[in-house]
Amino acid sequence: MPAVIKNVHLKFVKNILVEFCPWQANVESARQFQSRIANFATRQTNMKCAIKTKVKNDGTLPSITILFDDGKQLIFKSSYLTSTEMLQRFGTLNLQREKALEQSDAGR
Amino acid sequence: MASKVFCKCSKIRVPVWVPSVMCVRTMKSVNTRTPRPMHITRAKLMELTKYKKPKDNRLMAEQCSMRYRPMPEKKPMAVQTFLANQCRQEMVSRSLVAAFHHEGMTQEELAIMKRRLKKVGISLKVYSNKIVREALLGTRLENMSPLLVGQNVYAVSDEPLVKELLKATKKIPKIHLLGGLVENRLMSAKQMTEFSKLPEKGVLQGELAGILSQAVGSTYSLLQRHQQALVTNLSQWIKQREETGV
Repeated sequence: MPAVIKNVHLKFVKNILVEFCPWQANVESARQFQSRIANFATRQTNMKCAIKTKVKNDGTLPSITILFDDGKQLIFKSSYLTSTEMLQRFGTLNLQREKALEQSDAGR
Repeated sequence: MASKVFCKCSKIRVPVWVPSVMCVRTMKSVNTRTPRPMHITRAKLMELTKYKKPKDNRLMAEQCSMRYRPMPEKKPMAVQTFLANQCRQEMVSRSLVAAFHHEGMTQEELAIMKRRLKKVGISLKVYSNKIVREALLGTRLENMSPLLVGQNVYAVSDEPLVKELLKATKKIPKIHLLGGLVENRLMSAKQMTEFSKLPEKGVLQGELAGILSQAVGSTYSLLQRHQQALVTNLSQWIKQREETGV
């Protein structure tokens, strides 16, 4: 497992909602993702981004919803995903977005 | 082969051995490949002092270096056992054990939370999941194991001060209540908030007593209805007769 996953920052994110039922079995990845995303260093990349954590008990599966500032949504149904996989995916999306921005800037 | 040459460097004349033949700078190519043949005595000594491996009398199968060996049993680490015992002492025989998920709190923030809880009579414990799992296995808190994932802190108390706990932790943004043990019952976060809204125990007991006695009372009044009606009617009739003076 890489110690640092690249490109995990909240610059393009409007808000994040993490919901899980703590008494369920497959909740580890959602909780770890939440810890990684909500820690001080990552939060500092964008102080306007609102990270909401919902602790529920209705037997529904854990999920993470990331709303980007261009209106797109990324939903992770994290029962059978690891936090690393989710963060990597998020990182690649950020990278793609950055590259697209660079290209559009270069094109101007 | 002592020759009759004397050492010139010292004042005393000392006999010095000089080889009869001195081969100096004649060979174009020097032998570096074949080792010089040893003197017989030296050769014998070398052979005697060689290391001879003692013969392995085991079966070939046992001798094989790729043979599967079961892993030796790992001894439990003393520190882990000690901490697990400590954790068990502090958590198992308590009336309130609430687990919180936190997003990476600094020592300062932890200290602030600890202080706030201590004012209300609740103590904050921080243990790693491995240790808590070991501590709670086999105790009455065994079913708390799904919570032991991720970063946790635990608030423990001897009395079920759920209301005070919720009030104290409301203002702390990095904390999320997961649930826990309240008076012999494992609860979720929602159930804990509902528990905190309940009135006092004495009041609830009084209400229960009232409800029970109400059932009995209604049965009694139903059974007595006819007699009661007769009695009231008769008393009314007596009153009427007194009034009219008959």
